[in-house]
Amino acid sequence: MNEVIRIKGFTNETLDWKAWLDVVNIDGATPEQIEILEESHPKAKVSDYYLFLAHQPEILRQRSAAFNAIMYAPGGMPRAERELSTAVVSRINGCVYCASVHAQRFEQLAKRTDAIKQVFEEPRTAGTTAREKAIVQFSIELTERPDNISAQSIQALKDVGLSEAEILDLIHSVAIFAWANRLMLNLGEPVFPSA
Amino acid sequence: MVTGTTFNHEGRCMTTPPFYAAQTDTLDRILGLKPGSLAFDTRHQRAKVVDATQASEDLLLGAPIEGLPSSERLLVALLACALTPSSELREEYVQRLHAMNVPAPIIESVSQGKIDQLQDARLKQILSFTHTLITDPIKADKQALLTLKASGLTTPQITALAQLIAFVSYQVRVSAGLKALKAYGAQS
Repeated sequence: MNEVIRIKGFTNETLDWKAWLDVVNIDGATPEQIEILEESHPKAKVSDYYLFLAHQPEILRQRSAAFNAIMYAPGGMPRAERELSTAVVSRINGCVYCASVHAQRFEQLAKRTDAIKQVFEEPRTAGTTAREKAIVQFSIELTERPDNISAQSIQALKDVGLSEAEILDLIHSVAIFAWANRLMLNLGEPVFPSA
Repeated sequence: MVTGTTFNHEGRCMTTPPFYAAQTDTLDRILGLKPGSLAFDTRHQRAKVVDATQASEDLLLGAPIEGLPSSERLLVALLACALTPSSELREEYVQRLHAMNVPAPIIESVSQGKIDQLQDARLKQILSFTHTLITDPIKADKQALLTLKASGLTTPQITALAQLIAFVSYQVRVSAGLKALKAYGAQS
């Protein structure tokens, strides 16, 4: 990360996250909990978030399977665009922690920060191209009014060149952040780096 | 465990993984997605997601979780679908609750989002937590978790409850997206 972005309470800085209830003590964790933490995330064993979710290891295993298959699977929608959509969802839901992580991932993949700055400033008009704008609009609509999504919403994505496989990846990315944001917002809080 | 072979709309053969079973996949069933259709074939190109989605639902709503009866968890799912809203999933969870012989007035109240009328204080507490997390997730705070603890829930039970509410938020959006893909496929 080269440039620090701080806009309207959102940032691309590396934040920490602190749980509001007791987390699993790694020294007392069962072999199953250790195995599932290791398959969930490279740093899960030192993360309050994953150690909280490890209270229900099988549920965490399936959540991580869905999350990793959606965000990292090859093919389909470019990964930078998946990150853009999750930054939009996190911005709309007010999840500062998730937004910071996925702002960084977008920057790593796309080698630019312009779209993320726009998302932090005003998500409803964000997007540097027609394709990005359509992805952003769909992400907002599926987050706020899933019952309004229709064939026309799909057509709007087709019109800017998304394939059906890419549209599926977009649906999944938006949906998995309805899930991720609610855990992050509800089980603890972000910790900002000390000045 | 069932294995099967389907063909996508380009005629390519796709072998589905061993976990997928058409009769037990909730979203394919309630949305009426059939092999050979655009929505089904597109969806099943991401077979790992299909499997993890169903496995999550099975764990969160079907499997035993100590101290959180299945009927209570289905009421949480029902309220989440009623508020989002998602008519297909709401109907699905209403039917499952009736099949478990949960009293009809309770199902009816939750299905209309009216949780103030419920008598059971613990259930009310759990559903009020659900209401906040579905409609205004930024309002979730530490006090809400401490209140659940004071109602007698353990941290593992609160973890399961939070995962359940968050999962249904995901499931309703996957469902809405697939429904739109189905409608798009039908007209194109």
